[in-house]
Amino acid sequence: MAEVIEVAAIDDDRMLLTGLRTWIDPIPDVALVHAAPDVASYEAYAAAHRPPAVVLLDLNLRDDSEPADNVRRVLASGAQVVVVSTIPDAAAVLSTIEAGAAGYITKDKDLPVLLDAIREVAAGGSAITPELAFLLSRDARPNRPQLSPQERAVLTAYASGATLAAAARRAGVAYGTAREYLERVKRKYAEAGRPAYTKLDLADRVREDRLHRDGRPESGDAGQR
Amino acid sequence: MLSPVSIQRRLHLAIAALVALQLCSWPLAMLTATRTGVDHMSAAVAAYALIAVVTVALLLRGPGGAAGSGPASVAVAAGAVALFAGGRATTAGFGTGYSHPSLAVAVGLALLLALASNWTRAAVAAAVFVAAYLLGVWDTLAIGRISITGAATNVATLAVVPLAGRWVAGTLIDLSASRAAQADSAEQVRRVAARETERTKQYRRLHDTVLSSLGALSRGSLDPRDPAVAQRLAGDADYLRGLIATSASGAGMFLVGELARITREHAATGLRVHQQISEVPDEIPLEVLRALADGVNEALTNVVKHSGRPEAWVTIVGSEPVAGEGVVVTVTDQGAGFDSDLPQGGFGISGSLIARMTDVGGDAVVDSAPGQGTSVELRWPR
Repeated sequence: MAEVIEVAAIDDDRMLLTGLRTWIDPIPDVALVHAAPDVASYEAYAAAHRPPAVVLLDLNLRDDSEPADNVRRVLASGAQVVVVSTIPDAAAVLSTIEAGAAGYITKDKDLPVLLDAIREVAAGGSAITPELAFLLSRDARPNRPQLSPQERAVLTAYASGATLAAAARRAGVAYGTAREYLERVKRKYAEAGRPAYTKLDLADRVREDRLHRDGRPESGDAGQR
Repeated sequence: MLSPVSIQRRLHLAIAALVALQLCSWPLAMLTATRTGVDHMSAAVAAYALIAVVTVALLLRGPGGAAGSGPASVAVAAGAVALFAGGRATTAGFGTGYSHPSLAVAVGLALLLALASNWTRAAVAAAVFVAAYLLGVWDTLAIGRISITGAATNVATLAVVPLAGRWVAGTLIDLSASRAAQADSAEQVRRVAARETERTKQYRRLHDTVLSSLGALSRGSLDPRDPAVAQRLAGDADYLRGLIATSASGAGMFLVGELARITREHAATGLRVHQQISEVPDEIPLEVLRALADGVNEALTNVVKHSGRPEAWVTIVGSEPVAGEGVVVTVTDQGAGFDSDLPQGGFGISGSLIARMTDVGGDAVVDSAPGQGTSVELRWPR
């Protein structure tokens, strides 16, 4: 592969970031270009450099920042987001998918699974892991996006660890259709989040959110400029 | 102790019996008395018929049938008209006794109305009936003291019986509701205690597994680069994750604990088990939990033997749509698979396991296709 996928990671656990570096360093087509303890540090990096293709974003940073807000800020930098976490906190993960994250993966997964997710997202796709499918299939919030019975059947089978081929057979649809259904489910969630059309819009949304929450612009804004 | 609803139902039957007796009394009196004491028989019969129809209609609506303000107002108005007209039809001097065609039934009707409404409406209905009665028998009252005593007794009956009946019924129903609430909270306490017991047991197991792994790691006696150690640590992490995901459910924690034990037993084969758990009901019978754990164990054994892949997914969820009373456990692999339409000769789960799930009221289904992995679904209830 000629193109090297540039990846950044945002996580406040230094040890895990070091571990991630040793993991990724030997991989020829993926490079970890930046590791940040919080979103503001990442924003400072992204403003001064070419933004990476994919950012691995820890779901629950210890600075109590909103996961969905973090996703929007990273998207505004021009990178795609894969959310990672130790505990699959359903409500938080769903909010990041609605905010436009391209995928979700738990930290206990092996390197090949992580690399698959990175490559898929860098190529413009999404990383719908079984654990993300599981959270989507168990979403019981009253305002959740409506899924068709067939979309639900594919999602549930895929969430239980079945291959996409098996999920397709059980839902009674073709393999390609099943794949399209998963993408469509994810799209429905992204569309259920508020519409945000351009990078500028996204940046505005982020500022709005913070104004709304704090009643004043945050000093963290400085990192964005 | 009867439930509030069954108390209401029984009271309704009692009133129905009372009204039936009251309906008989005036016709019987008219047929047997030497002097009817009625001046206008057709008017008396009309008054009797009116109150009879209204009362029976209200009774047929069932307990609470007189609760709406519409039916209640109609009944009060009709009862008042019948009481007044009935009194006017009687001979002067006979308005306090057996000759009054609608007095007896009016007591039943007033009771029926009082039980189905609030205190204010019950009092208003009683007052209207008393007034209609007194106006109707004015000629009798005019005779003097003796007839006034008789009328006072009737007035007391018309007003006191419904209100007292309402008070007794209200007390009974409140008492029964508070007993039911007590029973509920006792059940609640029992559930919490059961969950706490399960939690304590899990903490002890945690001590045994996760803490000993961490301790050995920190002492340097375990090498995390050893694949067996890495596997054990991954299993420990899954166990903790599972407990966190299902800490609201005693049954869920039991299943996560069993899964941790089973996963360890299979660890020597190099099998990695991914687990997902969500919305498991708090209470599931122990024999069902045991059957589910055995089923998972057997399905994982089959993954090791037949799938050719070192990975399996165990998913534990409350029955659809979301948090029903049942549970569905699936064990899935992405391995070789087989044709699940053919006889399963050792590939699927055994007949004895299906029988075991069936015995506890559940079911087990295998789904597979060549090259597409295998999925075993254990479901309870069926």
